[in-house]
Amino acid sequence: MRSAIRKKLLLVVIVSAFIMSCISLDIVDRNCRQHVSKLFHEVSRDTAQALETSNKRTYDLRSNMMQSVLTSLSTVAEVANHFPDLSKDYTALNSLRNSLGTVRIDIIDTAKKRIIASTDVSLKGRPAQVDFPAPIFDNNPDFNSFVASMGSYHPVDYVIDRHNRELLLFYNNLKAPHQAIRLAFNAAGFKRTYEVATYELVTSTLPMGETGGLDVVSQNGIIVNSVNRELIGSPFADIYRGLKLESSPAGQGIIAVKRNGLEAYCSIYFSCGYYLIPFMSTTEVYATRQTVLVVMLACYLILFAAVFVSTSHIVKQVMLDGLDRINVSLARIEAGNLEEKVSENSYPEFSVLSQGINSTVEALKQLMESQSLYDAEQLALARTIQLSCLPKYFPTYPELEQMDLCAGTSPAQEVGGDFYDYFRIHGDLYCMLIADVSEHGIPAALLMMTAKTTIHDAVLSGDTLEHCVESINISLCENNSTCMFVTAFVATLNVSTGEFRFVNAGHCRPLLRRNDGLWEEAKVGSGMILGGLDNLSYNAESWFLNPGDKIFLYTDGVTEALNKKGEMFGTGSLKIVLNRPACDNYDPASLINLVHDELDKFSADTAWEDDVTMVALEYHGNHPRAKFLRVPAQANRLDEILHFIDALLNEAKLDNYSMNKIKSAVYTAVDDIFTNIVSYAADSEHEAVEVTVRAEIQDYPYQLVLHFIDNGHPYDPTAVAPPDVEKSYEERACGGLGIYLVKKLTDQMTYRYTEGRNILRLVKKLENI
Amino acid sequence: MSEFSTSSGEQIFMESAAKLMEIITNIGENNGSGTHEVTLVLNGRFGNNSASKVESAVHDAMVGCHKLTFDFAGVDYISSAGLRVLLMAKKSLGGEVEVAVINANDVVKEIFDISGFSKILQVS
Repeated sequence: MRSAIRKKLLLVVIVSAFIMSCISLDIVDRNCRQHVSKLFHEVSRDTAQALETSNKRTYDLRSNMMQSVLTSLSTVAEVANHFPDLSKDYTALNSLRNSLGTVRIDIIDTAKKRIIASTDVSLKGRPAQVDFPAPIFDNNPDFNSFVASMGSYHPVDYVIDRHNRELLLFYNNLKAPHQAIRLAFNAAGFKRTYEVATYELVTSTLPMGETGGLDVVSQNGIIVNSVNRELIGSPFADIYRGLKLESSPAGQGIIAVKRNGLEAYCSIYFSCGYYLIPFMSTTEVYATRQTVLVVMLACYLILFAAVFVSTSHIVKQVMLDGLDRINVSLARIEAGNLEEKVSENSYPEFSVLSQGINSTVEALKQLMESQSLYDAEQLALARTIQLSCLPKYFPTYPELEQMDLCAGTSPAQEVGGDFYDYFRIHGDLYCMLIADVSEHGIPAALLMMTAKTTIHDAVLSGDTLEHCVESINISLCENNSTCMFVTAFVATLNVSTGEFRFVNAGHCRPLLRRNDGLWEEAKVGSGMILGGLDNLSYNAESWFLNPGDKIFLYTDGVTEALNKKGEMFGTGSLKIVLNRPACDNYDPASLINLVHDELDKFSADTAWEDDVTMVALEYHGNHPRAKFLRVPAQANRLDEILHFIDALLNEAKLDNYSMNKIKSAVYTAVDDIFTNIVSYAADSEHEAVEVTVRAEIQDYPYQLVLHFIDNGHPYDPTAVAPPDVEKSYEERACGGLGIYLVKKLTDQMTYRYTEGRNILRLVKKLENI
Repeated sequence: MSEFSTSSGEQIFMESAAKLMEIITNIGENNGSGTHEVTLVLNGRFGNNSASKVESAVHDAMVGCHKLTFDFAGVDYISSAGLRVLLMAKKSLGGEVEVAVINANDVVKEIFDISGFSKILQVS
């Protein structure tokens, strides 16, 4: 972003510099031309002034010259008229010539076209040209015109003799017929005199610079004077190609022209009958331009570099640094840190921007929080619903002596696809199962609910187990558009005979521990998964369990739990844990707690990828593990109960002090609970309210678990409000303390009412204090 | 403190089961103002079944009593029924008469604490 701004800035600066340079170039050009124009003007004015002065003098001089010549001619004519014999008198003629200072005097017979007399005797009798005017041959047209002009004053004909370089003036108006007088002057001398008079001052014009100067052009287009003397006499049109004297805007501006093959600028002024053309070569006009431009460009370069550097610095300081800091904050926000605050306050605009971002993020955060709260609530609700349909009280049937079963599940996500079930089918026949739906989350949970209900209903139908599983499979195949499936291990146990029948539908093989043996993976067949293909048949297998036999069912979440290194827990580790000598006599609940804790230790901080679900059962037959006492609900049976519990507690491995403390606390609790049952639950029309006390010591954790089961009125002691123990004795009511004491003296007190039974469960940890 | 142990506990329990609660009432010297100090030595389980027995003993001992002391050395446990007897005793005797409990075991003391009876009775 910064580089983009820099590039644009650089572009703007370069374009500006270029435009400035172009403007400067134009200005310098104009300046040069103006300067030259001014110079031209001044030179022309000076020259014009000089010309004006010299022209007057020239005119005077020329008049004198002309007067002198004409006077000479008229004098000779006068003499000839007076002396008709002059043509025969050489001496007189010669002396006349001498007095007039001419080169020669000829008298010509115009009829015969012959020279009849001359101061040069050799010419006598020679033919003479008499056709006038004679051709002008001098290369100075100005001079020629001057000479021609003389004819306008007198009836004089003239010719410049080509051969003798003589200026010949004729007077043919003599009294003598067919006679004319011809005066010959030295043409060169005459011309020199003329030229000296003409150019005396004009030639004083100095050259301009090295290539400049002034050309003076006569009205008939001949260069009459020039800095380049060799050009004098040349026609203007030859030297100034393409320039027209007439059409040129005299004295206005400068004109680009090609002068004598060189590129030049010139102006045209007109003064005293002459065109004054100051000129200068283009190169020289622009001679200073290059230097000026170089200096100017250098200045621009430095100036614009400074502008660029300072502008980019200011932009960076004012904008980019602020934007960078805001961007850093934005990057953090983008990375998920919504606690990040943008605090760019270097300029008011950034403060506004920062506040805008902060309030947006704040609003976003609140929205996300409310959304995640909503999501969490929804998931928690789903979890609650899911768990509420699984048996959660163990022992589920506390009065059942021949078998103990415990189960537990820990979904990997909020809602998982694992489930188990345990229920009585009828009489002595119980059903227990474990299952795993192939996915996680809400879809799996929904299928799990369906599967659980389907299995429950099918098993309760009373059909054979294999038929039940077949119908379950068909049910689950119907409308299974998501292609999810279920693996399950479904079993029934007849607690009186010990017959354990089961169907394995693609589930992990259970672990079996025959009494006094070791935990082994049971050799069981494996049927197809449920919900995959319909119309499959399943086989049921049967075992006969002996008292002390245990079965451990689990989902693959147990054996596939990963540790930090990515290693799986595995069936091997599971067996090693279960086969520890210390766990030899563990009850089902202890086994499940143990494996759960071992998995926690193994996975450490790694979250379980899959649901972890376990079911453990132990068959007791006629040798129940727990102690049972059944007494009528009568106050005097309390001692019997205390005795019964005392006997069990005596087996606990505790030191004397701890034992006595625990006993004292347990007795208080039992006294108050039984008293309660007697006074409330037994207050009944039923003739015989019986209380079953189930007492057992669990190994992991090491604790005493007591169940009080009675068939009296439903009465929930856990719902009793606690007394205010802060009151003084005068205010204290006599009573209401019992349940409060029980709660305080035990580690757990739970109550449920099921199948016409009040079931109160008390747990007291057996720990050495 | 009761002498429970894994080996002898059952025997003691069996004894106390035969006699739920044994109460010995010791009446102290008259201190000259016509009142005297009474100590009730309780032996057994101070639960629901023995509460009425203790209650009547308290009733008998209350007359002319300026301090009532319960010796809990032989008390295995106390239930809410037992606590009720103690509270009734305190209520009947009023603020002037001190009701004390001595030699209570740890759990009984804890019960006095959690039930707020430590503030009502002199427990030591």
